[in-house]
Amino acid sequence: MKESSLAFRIRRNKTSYFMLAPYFVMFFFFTVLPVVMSIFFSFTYYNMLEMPEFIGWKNYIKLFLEDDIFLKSLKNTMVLAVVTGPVSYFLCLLFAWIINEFKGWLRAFLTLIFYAPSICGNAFVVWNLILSGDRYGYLNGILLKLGILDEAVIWMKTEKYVLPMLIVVQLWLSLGTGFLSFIAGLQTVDKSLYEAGAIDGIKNRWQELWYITLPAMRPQLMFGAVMQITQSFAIADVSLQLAGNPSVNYAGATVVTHLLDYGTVRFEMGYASAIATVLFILMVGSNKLVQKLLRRVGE
Amino acid sequence: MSTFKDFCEYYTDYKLDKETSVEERFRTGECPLMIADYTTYNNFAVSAPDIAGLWSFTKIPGTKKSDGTVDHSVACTGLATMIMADTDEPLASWEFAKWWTSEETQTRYGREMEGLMGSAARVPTANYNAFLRMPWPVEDFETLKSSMDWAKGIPQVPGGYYSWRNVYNAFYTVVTLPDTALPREELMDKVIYINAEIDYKREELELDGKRK
Repeated sequence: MKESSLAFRIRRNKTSYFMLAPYFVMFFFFTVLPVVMSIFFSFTYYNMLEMPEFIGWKNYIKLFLEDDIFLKSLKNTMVLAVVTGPVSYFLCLLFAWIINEFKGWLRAFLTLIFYAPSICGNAFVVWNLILSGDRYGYLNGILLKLGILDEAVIWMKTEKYVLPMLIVVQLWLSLGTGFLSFIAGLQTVDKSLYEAGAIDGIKNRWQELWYITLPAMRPQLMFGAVMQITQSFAIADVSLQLAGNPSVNYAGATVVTHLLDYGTVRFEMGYASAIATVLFILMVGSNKLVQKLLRRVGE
Repeated sequence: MSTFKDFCEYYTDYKLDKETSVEERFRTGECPLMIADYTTYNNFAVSAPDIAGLWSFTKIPGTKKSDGTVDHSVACTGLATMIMADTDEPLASWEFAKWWTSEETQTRYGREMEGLMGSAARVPTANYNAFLRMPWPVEDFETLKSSMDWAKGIPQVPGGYYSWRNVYNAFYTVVTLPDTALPREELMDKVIYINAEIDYKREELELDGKRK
């Protein structure tokens, strides 16, 4: 058997392959296979009660040419991704850098405060209370008392407030895993690099951050960016719980809520799969873009 | 159209609070009168012992018709059971559906639910006669029985989920932009969407002949 052939190399590394197998099986059946099935369903008409019927590109034609709610939801998702992605990324970095200065229990306490919203399951529904349209809701009550408002505003049902409110809640939620990975990354930067930098003429903390800390943290930066992007494209839960399903005039619609509407309310799985495929391509594309941009950090 | 206009006017001209926790306001006395469905009755019967015996309910205030009589119509929603056409056991399914919605079974179901969880668990039974046999207090029972005569179901059509959604959108647009949005315009805009969706669903389900 030839030394370099694929079969020979597999045979030689077979223990590694066996160890990979459990994860690979789960990954294949729960991630790869559903994506492939979804791409297949997007070319059919499927209402989940009958067999899928092949209709070619009709779903995509309808999606891009006739569906103005999809365009609105795409715009909302882009706004959410562009604002909460980078803004939350920088906020995470900033807070991680500041908290890195503290030591001991104060640091652990601050980390808990920042990380708590993301681990507490659906804790963001408390915003429903705060943003309640009732005259006695928290936000309304305080603003009425201070005289800023003279009648209660229904925050989640007024078109122009829905998206800003969603952005605020999403930012609050997103100081999560990225933040932890930044703190870990900041800890693992080699201390001797800072000393070498001081000798070489680094003048202030900003230069130190840009030339030493950030390049040393490149894997964590990459991880953080990937997590933020994937999360912001998949924002739907927050929108459903706060803005309702469907939201008023589709002001809070994101691509995933649009998908859920078609899939679960209207039973048009083929169309929902088309939306999912478009979202998939969008996410992969933007991921690649972000990675390319991040390679230039520190140069 | 004029009904929608009147409905919007309660909120734009008379400035009724658009979102309220009616239950809380009823308990503190801020709202002495409340229009709600009977699940709220269940809610209060169990969760508001502080006002027990101090409240009751009656027929919904009606609108005076042109001939002087009062129309007490109330909208109601419904649930349905269906048997799929491809099933292997159509007769058995029919027998089961008949048994489940019979007066005997529903009475037993309702009474056992209430026996387990108290009056909070009083269910709207699937059988009208079974409903009359639930343990209601006497005056409440008389009121309910007379209200039942006025209950009118809202017919559902394929694509009907789109109607309430668009009326809702039109309503909120008018109510949150009272200076610029007119009820008539908003509703007419949305009616186009509603009609389009109903047409689409009718074509999909082949209600007007084979799909093109």
